[in-house]
Amino acid sequence: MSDRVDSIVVGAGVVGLAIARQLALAGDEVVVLEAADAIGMETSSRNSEVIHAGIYYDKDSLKARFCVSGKAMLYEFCASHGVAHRNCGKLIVATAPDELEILDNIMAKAAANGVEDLYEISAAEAMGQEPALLCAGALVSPSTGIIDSHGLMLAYQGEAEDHGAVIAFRSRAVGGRVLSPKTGGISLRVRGDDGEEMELACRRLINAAGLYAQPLARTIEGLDPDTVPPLYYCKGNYFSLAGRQPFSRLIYPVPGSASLGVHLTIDLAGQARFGPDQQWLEGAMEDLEGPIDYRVEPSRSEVFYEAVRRYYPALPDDSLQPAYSGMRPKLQRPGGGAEDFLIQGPDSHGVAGLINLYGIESPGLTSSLAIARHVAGMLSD
Amino acid sequence: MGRHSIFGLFRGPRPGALPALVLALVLGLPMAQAWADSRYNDWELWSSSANAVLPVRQGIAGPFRINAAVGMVSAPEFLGSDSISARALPLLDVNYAGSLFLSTQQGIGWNMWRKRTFRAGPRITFDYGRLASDSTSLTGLPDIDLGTEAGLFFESFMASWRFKGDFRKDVGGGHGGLLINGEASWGSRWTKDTSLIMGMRMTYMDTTYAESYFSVAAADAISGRAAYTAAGGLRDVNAYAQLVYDFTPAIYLATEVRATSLMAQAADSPLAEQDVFFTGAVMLGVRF
Repeated sequence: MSDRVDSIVVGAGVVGLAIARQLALAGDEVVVLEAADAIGMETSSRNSEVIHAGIYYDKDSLKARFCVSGKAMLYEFCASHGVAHRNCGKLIVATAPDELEILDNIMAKAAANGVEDLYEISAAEAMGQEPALLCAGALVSPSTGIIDSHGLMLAYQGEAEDHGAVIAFRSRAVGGRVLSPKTGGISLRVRGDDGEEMELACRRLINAAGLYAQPLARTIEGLDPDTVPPLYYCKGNYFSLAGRQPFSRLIYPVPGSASLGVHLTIDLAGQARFGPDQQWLEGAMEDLEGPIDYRVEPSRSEVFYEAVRRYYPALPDDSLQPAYSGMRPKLQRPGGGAEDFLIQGPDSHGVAGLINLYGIESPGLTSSLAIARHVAGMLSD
Repeated sequence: MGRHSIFGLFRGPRPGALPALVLALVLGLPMAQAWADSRYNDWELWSSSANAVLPVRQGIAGPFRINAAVGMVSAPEFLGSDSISARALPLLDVNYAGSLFLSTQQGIGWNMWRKRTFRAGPRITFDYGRLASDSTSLTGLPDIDLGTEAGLFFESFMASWRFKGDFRKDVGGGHGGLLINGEASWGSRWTKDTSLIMGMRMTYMDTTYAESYFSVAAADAISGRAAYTAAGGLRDVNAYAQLVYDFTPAIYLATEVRATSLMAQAADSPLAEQDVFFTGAVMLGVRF
């Protein structure tokens, strides 16, 4: 069987749903293809559920721009659509005197990104506000918050569907073919979970498949494979804290090379958790064979105890329990420098109507509305 | 909107039809869909037992006693959910010669030992399971299918008091575990037409049951729903009050409010969004 629709979004994660909503609000006919049987089953539901302020990213990068503008849009959206969230703020802590200089750099970077509300407090002030904390100094980020990520995705889904979008679950895009590079038109091969396949053509294709964006792009005949960047998978493990959580705000150590460090976040139910760490999968993995192993190795808690006790020395023994894990779709190779989001349109690859989103990791949740607006703008150009 | 594949946009049955079909066949009810919509994992937890407490006040000819009712129940979407939804609740009790019964509340059973104030025997009950689609909080969790439970029950009356107990072991396709229930209630006629019943009930679950309903496998753990391994123990304790008003000897209105507290391993589960919750039901019924 074959059919044709105006726009297809591949991936019903937070970014795919935000894009579908944006296009549907503009009156487009939208079909979202999702391989799983529910929304947001991978990266979008396996993260810290934090509304980031936009502090750490390089000036003028997509991450910085989208995070800062997306944060404001997200708070407004949550308020107007009843999505559970809390603007709890966070502390970025120097755990030793030699990290104070890093705080200065973070402050400068934040200011360059337009994050003007960050301010520094002394160690005594920080530890006075958070008695369980040990630090040499701290930055306060008042605009950081936490959010019910699934509630957000449901709100996106609901509004998209209210405006005519259709989400097809258990429908994996397994191949594609460019029908006309100049005028647009792409045919996708879609496989159901019973193995049956169908062709579905569209005028515009938005590849927001997250962990599977590169593998999907490589299957599209007519798209130059050299435009598809390598993909690296970096697992992040979380451990939850048994008992009462000791902090009123999120606590972040100064960031590492590929993540924001083993930080403490609080979910909306008040449960504290630590993570994520970095667990690189071997090499560049274009194709994940079989289901992703999301198990959390209990033995990894040793590293967590060591990292967390640098700012929370009273962390009791045996208080960390394996909670959950997520997988980051990284453009950054292990040991390499930080990479930006990569959103390719016709200007990059020459195929009209095709948008590929690569490396959408943190702060993708915060940036989702800004990314959606950006993608819609690319399509209307 | 249901979760359908791209193929299902054009064709294909809705999932979850089987339990409704089985019930329709077993109970012969034309309202199987309504019943499926009122799925709950313990069908005696909130449904009114008032109709069984009070003796029917009219003479009945023939061996059959039938109690049929329809109503609404307000209950969590699943055990532990903090989302309350109102659902239709059909009720049907058929008793044959005081010996055999077929009931949406009590299952299918035989009063093997029966005296004036005591009855006991084997029975089969059904656990309606839990679907990931029942609530957004369950997204990604494996479904728990409709299960058939086999067990023994007893019920004893002492003046205004009634004591009940039973165990149920899943024997076909459901949670796979064992439940043991104990209940004590007190009932009295409040006015000429109004009866009041108050009671307490507690439920023990074994580890297999706890794993089915309250554990979260590592692969299913996500933000806000950490991995968790539940062990057996006390599942919940609940207290209830029921008010039954008899319009006529045959037609009655029953209302119930119930407070339930999840306990121990069940309360600690990340699926327990709230440990204490309230349910309510209103039913209009007829006995004949």
